[in-house]
Amino acid sequence: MPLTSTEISSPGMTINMGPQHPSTHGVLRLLVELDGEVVHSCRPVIGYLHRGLEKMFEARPYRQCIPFTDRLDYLAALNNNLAISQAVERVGNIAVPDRAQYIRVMLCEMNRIASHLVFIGTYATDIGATTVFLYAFRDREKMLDLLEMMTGARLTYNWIRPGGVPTDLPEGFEKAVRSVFEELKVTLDENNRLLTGNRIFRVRTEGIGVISKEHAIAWGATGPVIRGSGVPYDIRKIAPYEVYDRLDFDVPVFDQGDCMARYLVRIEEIRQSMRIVEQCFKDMPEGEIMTKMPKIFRPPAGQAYSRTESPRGELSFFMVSDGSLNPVRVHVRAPSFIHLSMLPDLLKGVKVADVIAILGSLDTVLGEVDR
Amino acid sequence: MPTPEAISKLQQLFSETQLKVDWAVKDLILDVECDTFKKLCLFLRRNTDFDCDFLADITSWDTGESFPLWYRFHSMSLNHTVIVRTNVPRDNPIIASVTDIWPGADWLERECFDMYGIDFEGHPFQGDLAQMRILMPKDWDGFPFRKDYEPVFSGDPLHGPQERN
Repeated sequence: MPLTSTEISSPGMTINMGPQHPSTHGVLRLLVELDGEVVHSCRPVIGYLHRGLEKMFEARPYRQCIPFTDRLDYLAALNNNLAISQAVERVGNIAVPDRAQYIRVMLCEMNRIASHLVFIGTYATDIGATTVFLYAFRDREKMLDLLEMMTGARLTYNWIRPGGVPTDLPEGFEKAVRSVFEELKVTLDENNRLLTGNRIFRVRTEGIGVISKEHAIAWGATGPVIRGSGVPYDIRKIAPYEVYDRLDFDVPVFDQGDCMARYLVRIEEIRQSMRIVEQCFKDMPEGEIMTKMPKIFRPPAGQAYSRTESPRGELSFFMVSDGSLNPVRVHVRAPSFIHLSMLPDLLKGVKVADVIAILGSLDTVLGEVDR
Repeated sequence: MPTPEAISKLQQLFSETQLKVDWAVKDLILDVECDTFKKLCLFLRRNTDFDCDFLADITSWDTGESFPLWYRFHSMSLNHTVIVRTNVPRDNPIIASVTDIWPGADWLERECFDMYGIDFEGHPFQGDLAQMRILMPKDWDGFPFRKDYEPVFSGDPLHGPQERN
């Protein structure tokens, strides 16, 4: 007589996913307790990459903190540079010239495109569509070339700083960007068709890992995760910083709240980012790119925080100054950290194969989680 | 910014709370005592004029005498930010947990505990040191972000626990 499914179930089987599992995108360990093929409970274990960066900020003058922020969310280092620079500017009451603001916005959006392209590639690989990985990384390579042309580095830029930006646009930059964008507009549609037209990809993402609107708000989700759940929460619109209030762009919102919705938000965001960069070239005024900053920078005592929209969500730096050379406290509100805290709730009752699909759709970067 | 009527109602209910406004970003900043903190949080969440349904951030730091706590709330429907600040004494750092109001507070509170040793009363893992630790190893000794924390190297870089004598 064949066994029934309840007889062959193995309750309480604990599986370690990570910290060396390739699809965890870093050193994340998931302690998953399985009941057959169904996840009974999940406990994320983090801290493998904890370098105590927040403590290290406390021992350095404000401007020397910037290289460390490159190592937080290493796929979008410029967005981190921007967030900490804004916090320093707010605590020290520094105004940034218009041209510098446009250059910052432009570069951050280009970094957002590069980061989302990594997401598309790695997420497709997680699901099993390895071809898209190569195409997405080919496109990302072109974006990195552009960023290298501007900043001189490919991953850890250390470029945006309090008071402005260090260098102006290089010769022929606009032309190079436009030609890359022309290609990207075509290849992005190609990549998108490869995935959204793929039955396996659709079955594995549609209706999987659904986060309801209320759930997303209560857990503090931000960025593409909350916008995939139907909440139009984008810092660039609700609390515009730099020159975002002068630019015309849409915030893509999808109501389904599943992995597919989060993927589609990111695809659409790439298109919007290209729109923003093109507008920046058109509207950018001539002028200064850096405010005159004192050689020894001592901001007045006080607290300030910055809110920025990084590719992963709301990235916020909180800073306390006591009037001395070093900050008393710098706190990073890392969007990936908050998103990972949703996992125990999100993974309860899903199939073990969907764990990877759901985790990948949150697009976490462990450098930012562990700090 | 919440409406002036809402703010005056809050002042009536919580007369000892100090109000400030950060005009640069139009944030309402509330300084509150530890014992009324939880009541104020419930009010901010439930009152429809404040409607703070989104907890953005919790952090703390060390002034030498106390641990100030800094909470940032946001309202999705009314699009305003309310900051609540409170102080917990250094010798008895304990504060009510808000995980029952905003489940997203879970890991943020655990991080504050991990780094500063602030106890969150009512947190699901309260009192369970190994479960509360989040970024540091489970068996770590001391709270590394305190200003008086002195790291002691145990000799073995792979295993964190430090022998203090």
